[in-house]
Amino acid sequence: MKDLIHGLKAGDSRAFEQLVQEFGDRVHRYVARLAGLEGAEDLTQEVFLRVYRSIGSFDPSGGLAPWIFTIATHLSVDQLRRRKARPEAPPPANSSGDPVEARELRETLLEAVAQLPEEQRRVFHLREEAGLSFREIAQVLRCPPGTALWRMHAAMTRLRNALKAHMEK
Amino acid sequence: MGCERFSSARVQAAYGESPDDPSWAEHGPDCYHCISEVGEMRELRGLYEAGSRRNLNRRSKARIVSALKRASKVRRLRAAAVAAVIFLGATLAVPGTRAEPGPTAAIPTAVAVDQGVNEVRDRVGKLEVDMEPPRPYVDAALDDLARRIRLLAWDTENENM
Repeated sequence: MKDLIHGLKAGDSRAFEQLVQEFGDRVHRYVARLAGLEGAEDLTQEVFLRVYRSIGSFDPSGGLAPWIFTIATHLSVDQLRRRKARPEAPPPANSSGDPVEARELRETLLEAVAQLPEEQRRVFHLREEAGLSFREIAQVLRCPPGTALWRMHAAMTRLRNALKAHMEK
Repeated sequence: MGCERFSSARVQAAYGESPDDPSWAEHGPDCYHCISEVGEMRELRGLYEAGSRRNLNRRSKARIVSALKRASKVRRLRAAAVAAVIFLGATLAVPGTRAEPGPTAAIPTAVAVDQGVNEVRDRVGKLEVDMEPPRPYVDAALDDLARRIRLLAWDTENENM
């Protein structure tokens, strides 16, 4: 990771490739969930440009991933604010050929995720889409790790209840 | 059920992290409630992961890398331009002019101006950067700077006459 940071500071093109390879999908999935799929690629690019331009002020003691996702969170929130809209409920995908029940269950889950309170939804996406540990999530959200875990537990409880309610129908 | 205090530990267990609570190791594996909740959370994760994963395609990644390279070139070029201006200033302030040494910097001759500008041009040219649209800009800025200095030298000469 030190090499990557050094390479970014030096403007090494291999470092850019490594950065995008390592974090591209995760950042894209995260900003798409937070700010909506429309414009997510441009937003992802903006995140990486911001990372590059600010790398001089990066404090390595905090870890690169939490720092990148802090930037991603801020830019996503800014974009949402500009659009004054809630993030879209992600459309179901890759579901062709699945049994109808499984597809419906998955759709119910995605809808329930989209309806989580913002703080819980953010923790959920930082874990599921960004792949951060709960300690890293706490860094991004500037809260104690216990708070991040508590929010995740609350989110999981809601989601499990939503699935149970769907199955009881 | 006495399991409330382990809610965070159950989340960590469901995500494969080592729970922070040391007593989880004694409680978790033997508690039906905790085991079933961890299992349900893992199932939920599996269901979520089986859904849509909106990854970037190869072209999009290449586009982002290109944007980063462009940003890097612009940054290097800006730094080079600043260095060039500093170098030009220093070059023009060195002795080798017609004026007698005095308390203020001497106005350089036209030859000195041209030498300084050419030196800067060479140095900018040696930079390993794609100069396409910025190079003409740097050249134009240098030409303008040289023109201004020559005018300054001309004014000074006329004042002295």
